[in-house]
Amino acid sequence: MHKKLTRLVAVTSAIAVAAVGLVSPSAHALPAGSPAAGTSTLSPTSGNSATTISLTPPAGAACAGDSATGGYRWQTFMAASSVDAGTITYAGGSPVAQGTAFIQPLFSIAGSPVTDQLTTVTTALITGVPSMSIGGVFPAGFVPAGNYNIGFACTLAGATTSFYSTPIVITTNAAGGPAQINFSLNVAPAAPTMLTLVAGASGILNGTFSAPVSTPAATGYTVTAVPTSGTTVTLPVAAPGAFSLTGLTNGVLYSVTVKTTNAVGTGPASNALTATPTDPNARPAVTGLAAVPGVNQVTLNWVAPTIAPVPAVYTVAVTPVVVGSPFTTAAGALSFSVTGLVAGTVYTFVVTPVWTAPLFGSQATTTAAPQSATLITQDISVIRPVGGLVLTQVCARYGALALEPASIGFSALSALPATGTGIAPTTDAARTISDPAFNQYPYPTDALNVPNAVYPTHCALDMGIAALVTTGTEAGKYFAVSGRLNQVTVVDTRDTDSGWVLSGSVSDFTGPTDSFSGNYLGWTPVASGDSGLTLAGYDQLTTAGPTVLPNNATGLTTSKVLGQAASNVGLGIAAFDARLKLLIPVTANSGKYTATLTLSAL
Amino acid sequence: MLTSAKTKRVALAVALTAAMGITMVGGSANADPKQLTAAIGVGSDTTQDVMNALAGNTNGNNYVPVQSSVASGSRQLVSFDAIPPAGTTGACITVKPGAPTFDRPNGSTSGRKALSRAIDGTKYGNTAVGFACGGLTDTSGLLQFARSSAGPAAGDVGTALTYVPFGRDGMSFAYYRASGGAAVSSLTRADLTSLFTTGPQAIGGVNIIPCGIQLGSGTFNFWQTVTTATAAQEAAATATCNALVTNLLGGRAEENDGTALKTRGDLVPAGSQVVIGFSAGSFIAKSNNVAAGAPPVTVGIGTITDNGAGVVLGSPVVGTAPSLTPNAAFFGDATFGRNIYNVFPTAVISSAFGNADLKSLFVGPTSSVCSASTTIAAFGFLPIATCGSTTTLGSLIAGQF
Repeated sequence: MHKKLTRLVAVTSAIAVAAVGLVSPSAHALPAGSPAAGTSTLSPTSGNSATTISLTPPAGAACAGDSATGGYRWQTFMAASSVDAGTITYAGGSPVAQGTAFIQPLFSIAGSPVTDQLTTVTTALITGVPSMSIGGVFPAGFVPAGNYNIGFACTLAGATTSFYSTPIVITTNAAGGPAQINFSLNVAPAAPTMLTLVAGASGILNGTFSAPVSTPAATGYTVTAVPTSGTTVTLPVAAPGAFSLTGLTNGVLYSVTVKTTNAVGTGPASNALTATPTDPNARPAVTGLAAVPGVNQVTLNWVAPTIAPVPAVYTVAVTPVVVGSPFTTAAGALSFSVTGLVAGTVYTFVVTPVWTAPLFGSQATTTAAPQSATLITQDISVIRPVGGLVLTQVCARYGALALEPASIGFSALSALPATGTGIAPTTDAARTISDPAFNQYPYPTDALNVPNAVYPTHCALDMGIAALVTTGTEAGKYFAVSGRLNQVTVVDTRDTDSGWVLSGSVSDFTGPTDSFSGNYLGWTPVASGDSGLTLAGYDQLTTAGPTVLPNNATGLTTSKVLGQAASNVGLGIAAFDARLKLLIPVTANSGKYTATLTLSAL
Repeated sequence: MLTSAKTKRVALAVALTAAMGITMVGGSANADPKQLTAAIGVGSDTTQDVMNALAGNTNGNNYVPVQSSVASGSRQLVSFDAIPPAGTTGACITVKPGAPTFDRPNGSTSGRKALSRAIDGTKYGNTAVGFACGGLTDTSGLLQFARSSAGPAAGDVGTALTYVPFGRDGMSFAYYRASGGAAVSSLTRADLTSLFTTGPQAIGGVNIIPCGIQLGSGTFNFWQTVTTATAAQEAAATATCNALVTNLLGGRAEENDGTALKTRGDLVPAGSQVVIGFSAGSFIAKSNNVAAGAPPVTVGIGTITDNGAGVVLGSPVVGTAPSLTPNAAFFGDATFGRNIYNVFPTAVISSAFGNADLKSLFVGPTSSVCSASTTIAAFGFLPIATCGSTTTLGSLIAGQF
């Protein structure tokens, strides 16, 4: 900022020297003037020397510095248009003459020259402009007719540093009086406003526009229509209002503007409106036109125009032209195959609905390149194994068992946690890729990748030493012992999804010298876990079989359900456990008894 | 009269103008105080009080402000005193909102210089030590007229300035003798010539010491024409008195200041008397208390017993304060009487068109100022038939201060 001020001071000095030169009789050519900083607004735009005018600089118009400390003043001027307002200097409260050219200040309506006025402090605004007249103080004949500029100038040491100018034209009346000077704003007209633009008859656009009052008055208006392609059309119009552009090309978008012309010149163009002239007999095109390439042919499909009546037939024109083009489709057809085309060539297909003349349909166009006949293909095949139902077990692994209430020969048995090697599946929730609950099973397959049980088929199940039942109705009749079933797992990968039943039966218990019925063995099956929904359909729902009590006439010597899955409930994997209860009749000889528990899944 | 207090109001108006700048555009300016568009004058000490009165107020008294015709905008006057009014320190003046501040012109010559610099745009101001108003300042558009108690210099054939008379003053000597008996109150023009060309001397048995009026005042210039002393002669002759006081005027006294004369008279050797040229009009106005600065009662205005042509003029004043009036015969004398003027750019006051406001205020016997003859007379000046004439012309006054 400080640097800027310093520069200003330097410029000021230079101007001051120039100003002294200007008022000297020996002055040479005038220096180039400062360019106009803007246009001041004249109101009213015409009148005579008795008219009170308001001349207003642009909002915020300011000098480069203020009067209080910068030394600037603002002045008014009324100068012949031959005078560059930027070259006018001021001294003693008046513009300095330049030869014979007319240069005067503007005068307030009270008759005072409006010169050497002060700006606002710091902001240097040009304010406090009084009401003025144009020529009100001049005697008759003093002001020659012609073109003038009136306006405001900022000065420093009398030299113009910037100015705001407005052109006017002055005519005079020899009769004198107020009309001895008539003034009028002398500017090219402002832009009109294009109001409406719509398509009329074939090749015609109709529109309306308005235009602000121009001073000098408008001498005419020119409407210009520029197409997206083709020849621009112009139309002279006498007055604002309606106009009609004719001879336009149907179907082409036109951008339409209008300009005003007066004695000073032609003003800027209005806003642009766009419209497309159309033929009223035109009907719409098909929609959804699609080309499907085939071998040396293209099949076209489309949707009929949504207008009644639907055209009976369509024409299909092909470019490059093929024999028979344009084709006419069968009545009501919405598809057409163009054959005999050259593979790889891009063809353009134009589908046109056909109505009875003079109605005509619009065209729809698409392109496609037919395929070559020299194609090769590779057919892929793969076999999904039939899958299988695999029954496995893990010796010495046990799932969790729930608390069991007292039953004949047994008091209540407490809940037992899962034990043994590995992790017993306990939930039915969706699992992650690293879920250890089921991937610890080997999913055995045979040489043909058919799931096959090669897992341990025999596990030991030592129930220990039985104890005499001493309470209840069976007291003294039996020895009792409980145990746990080695965990059994069923994997079902059969695509038949036919369901399965896991069942088991036990042989009689035989000892060294005696035996007793396998029906003395009972179980309480538990469904410890099955597959969650991690693959659609791989979420087989399983249920545990019913409890079988020991010493039951229909006990485990006949096959009993340990667990099952119904058909069509999905594929999956499931694990089952069971609490075992065994009663040994005291009538049996002492010794170690063995039996075989056989499990099968079908 | 614009005192410093009013200067402060002007400064406030500047701030308001800046703040309201946008809303002032156009006709809203009509709502501003009328004084903002007043014609502004500076210069003479002698005529400052009557011009303050024509502007509406001086020395605590209100007057009907003169204004131009309604058609020309009813423009009023604003007049800045030659020296800061009592109780103020306004050595610098800001004459209107947004205007630069510049040195207060002190006297007719300084006032005409400030006006001349406003005309030619070559700036006015004092860059000397002791003056702190920003040095040289562009006064363009800030001043419409200068007060002058003297016309153009003899032989001046310039036309740039127009001296518009509005009254007539008489000039005599004021006297003060602190001790040793009555002062000598009657002198001839020859006595005055001798005193102001050769210096202190005994006349009528009393050692009379001449004192100098501030340079640049119209009263000084006119007194020189009475005494016929050259500037050098006057400087030498008044050196004794001027050495008694130290001030920015080189020891000289502000014109028409009775107290200043007494101050010097109290410092001279016992029995001596001091004399100084004094406007009779100003003496009347101040003694009658219509203007500030009443001279001490021991300061008198002298009688002229010979105007140099054998005419006994007598005392310039008639009656006693506060009812002193001018002696028309004295004021009318070609040697001891003088017109008082307001000075304008000739291009403005005699323009072929426009400036109707200033013309309405000042030009012609029916102008607003000339019509205020009662006020003019109240300040000790005689109304004149040539009031409002635009025939007295002169050159721009050279100099920056």
